[in-house]
Amino acid sequence: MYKLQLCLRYLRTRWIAMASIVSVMLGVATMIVVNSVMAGFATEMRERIHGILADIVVETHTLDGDPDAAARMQEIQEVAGNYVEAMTATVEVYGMISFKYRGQVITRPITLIGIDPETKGAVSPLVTNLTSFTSGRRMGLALEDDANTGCRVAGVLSGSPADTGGIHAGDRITGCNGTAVQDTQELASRLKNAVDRKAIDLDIIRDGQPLALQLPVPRPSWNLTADAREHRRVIVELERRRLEWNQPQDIVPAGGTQFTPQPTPPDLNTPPDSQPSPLTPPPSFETIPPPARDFSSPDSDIVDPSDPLPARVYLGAGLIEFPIEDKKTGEIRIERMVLSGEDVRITTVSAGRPPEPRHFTATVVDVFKSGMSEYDSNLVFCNLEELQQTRGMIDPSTGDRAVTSIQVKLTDFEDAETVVERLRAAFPAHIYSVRTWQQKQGPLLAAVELETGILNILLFLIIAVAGFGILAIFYMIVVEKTRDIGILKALGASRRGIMSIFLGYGLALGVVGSGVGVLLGLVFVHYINQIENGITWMLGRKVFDETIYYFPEIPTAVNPLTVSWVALGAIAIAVLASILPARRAAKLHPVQALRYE
Amino acid sequence: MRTPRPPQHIPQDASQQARDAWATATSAPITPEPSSAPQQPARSGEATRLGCVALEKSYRKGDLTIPVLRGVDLKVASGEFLSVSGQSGSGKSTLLHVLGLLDAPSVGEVHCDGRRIDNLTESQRDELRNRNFGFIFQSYHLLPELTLLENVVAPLAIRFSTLRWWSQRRAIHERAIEIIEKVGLGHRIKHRPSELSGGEMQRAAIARALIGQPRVLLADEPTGNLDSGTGQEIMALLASLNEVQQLTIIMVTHDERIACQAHRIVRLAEGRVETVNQAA
Repeated sequence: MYKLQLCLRYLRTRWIAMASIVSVMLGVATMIVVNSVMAGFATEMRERIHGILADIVVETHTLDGDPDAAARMQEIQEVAGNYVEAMTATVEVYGMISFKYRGQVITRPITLIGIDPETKGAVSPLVTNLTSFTSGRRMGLALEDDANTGCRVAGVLSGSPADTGGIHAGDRITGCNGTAVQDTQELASRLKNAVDRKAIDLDIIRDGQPLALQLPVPRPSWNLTADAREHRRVIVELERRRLEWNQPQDIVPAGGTQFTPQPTPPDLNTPPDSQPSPLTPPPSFETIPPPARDFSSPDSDIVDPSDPLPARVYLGAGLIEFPIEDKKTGEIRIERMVLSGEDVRITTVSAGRPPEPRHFTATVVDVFKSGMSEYDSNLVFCNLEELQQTRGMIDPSTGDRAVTSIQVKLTDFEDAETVVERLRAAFPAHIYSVRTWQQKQGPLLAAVELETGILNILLFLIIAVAGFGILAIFYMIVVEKTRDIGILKALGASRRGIMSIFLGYGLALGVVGSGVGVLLGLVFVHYINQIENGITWMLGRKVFDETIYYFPEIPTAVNPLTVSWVALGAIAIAVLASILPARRAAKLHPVQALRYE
Repeated sequence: MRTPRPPQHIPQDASQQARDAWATATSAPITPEPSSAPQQPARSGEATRLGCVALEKSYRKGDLTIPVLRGVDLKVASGEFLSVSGQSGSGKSTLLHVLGLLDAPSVGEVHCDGRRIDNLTESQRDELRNRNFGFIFQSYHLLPELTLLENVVAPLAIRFSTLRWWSQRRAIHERAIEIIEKVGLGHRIKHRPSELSGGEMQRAAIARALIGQPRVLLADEPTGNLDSGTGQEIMALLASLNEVQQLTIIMVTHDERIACQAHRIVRLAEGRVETVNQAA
């Protein structure tokens, strides 16, 4: 009985013990925060990788691909059909993209992936990665931020899903899928997370009245959004006018004029028929009249020049975006070099031996942003048929289409190992490689895991340091309490009893320290974004820059198992650290202890 | 070696009777904890409560062996008030520690109620200290973190498991308060030792020594830190305990005037019994 009593009394009266509690607490809190953030990042990253890759990927080693995709998919269906939810055939090949930006031609290496949006969308989230979806444009919504919370609907395209869904211009979107949203950025991240959803729930305030509406998630397609179409129309119109402006120069029948430098074409924004004057402001895109049919040459009656080209692409955001700092305000904004609706030139290699370069021009349909910079700055999705056509992957005699990889989505990812086993048995290893997305990204995931592991070891050392603190403080307390220990022994306390006082004391310190630490850590994790905002406000500069990390907010994931392990570890260290002082206390000779002054 | 005792036929252990009477006076009886220590008394009619035979004790200091006790034979009868006096370094405190099992003798035996107790296992000696002996020290030795009441009940807190303590805490507290009132500290129950005077602290220590119903009270210079008036009060308390409850008391003191108040005075010099005087 006295053990418990003295333990608690010492805990309450020894202020120096608070130092141990605080050190344990800080250690535990730090471990929990760091682990949660690391786990949050890792989870988010895995989701993003998974979002691009499918559960299982069957690839050919050669870029020529497998000549008969349909047969391969049939085989997969036979081998592991009951596990497979969806499949899509893709062509993955290396290439280059080049586009014009402010008079420069910019060329980037890319991985070109030919996909069929319908089936690809069934295998892994596709539409939620597209910026036209996350900005609301694909649903026909024009959103804007203002001083109030929520996003104001500036306009709704008539006939669009938003229009048929009942959204009116002037509405305010305050929530999405059950979460409140403050601005368009937050709405975008909510929409991006709407993976596996059939519909989007929107909380709307119209004329002060709350309203709940539902919009269908658009199907991924190669169609341009209305904005992109309008943009394309304007560009085509400008191009036409530029050509028109150049026309008279060509007519001048002067020898050698072709070799003389042509006069600089006027600014694209300036109407060619009016002289550039500071008084006439450049007309906005909207004021330019749509191209009249009669301007076109007779044979283009069939094809509208503002129609997108047959080859269409989704570009990774990292390929065409870069952050730019405003010199005056210091604000960082994103500069986009290519907009949806414009054309880019893509170079790749043909199938067959020897591979030859192949070029084609494609219309940018959309920009995707998965959040994995490795993908966003490298991948270009293209329509599968065009890529197969360009690369000569269609057998002219049979019409079979070759693919380089087949992506498989499983009904349950738990079965991945089994399915991989079966597929590996069915497909010869020298032609195909069968891997799960985790195996495909093995080194990256392993690196993250290693990082977490090492960080944990280092952080646990913090708690170990706290343990040594406890050791030192306990030694001090034992010395201080030598006489009391003598008294207790004189009163009949046993060695074990004395020892358990100090072990119990250590345990109590550990329990209190880690308990408060867990609490502190969890509170910190819960309010980490508010804390980040506070620090940002104090320092005057962004701590966690979204443009760098691609996360609108710091992702966290609290793993109860990790938390309990950390807490238990801290308690164990506190008890271990108190063993030595406790043994010393138990060994004290009663007479000597009593004489101690 | 034990000298044959004259056959004494006291029908019942007198001090035991007195103690029982004292105990039954308390409002709530405390059921005794089953004890693993040897049951005493072993023989009826044993009048020697505590004794030692050819007791030697020496300390090692480096290569040197410093003898403190060099063959002490002592017998304390049940209900006796014995004082041990002598110069500093004569070994009187050591004798008390060895008799109270706080220290082990180098040579010799310690007997209690006819049983040898110095060769018991450590846990048995711990338990015997808790049940058989009450200690009073010169500098009181109260636990500074605990209140007076908690200090007083400490021996019982050590004796009982948490569960038992919990089930009997009311009886224990009642008894403790009764004892505290007996030593005249009823108004100080919630105070910390640091808020008490020397005399009050020593009274608290006496109350603590008594709560476990010991057979022998061992007092090491109980008046050493007190002024003569307060010292006298403490002595009066001890004397009345001895008289009323027939409590066996062994008191170590270097003060002749204090020593004289006992029944018998044993004078130690250089680790040996010099004289044994019957007090006036």
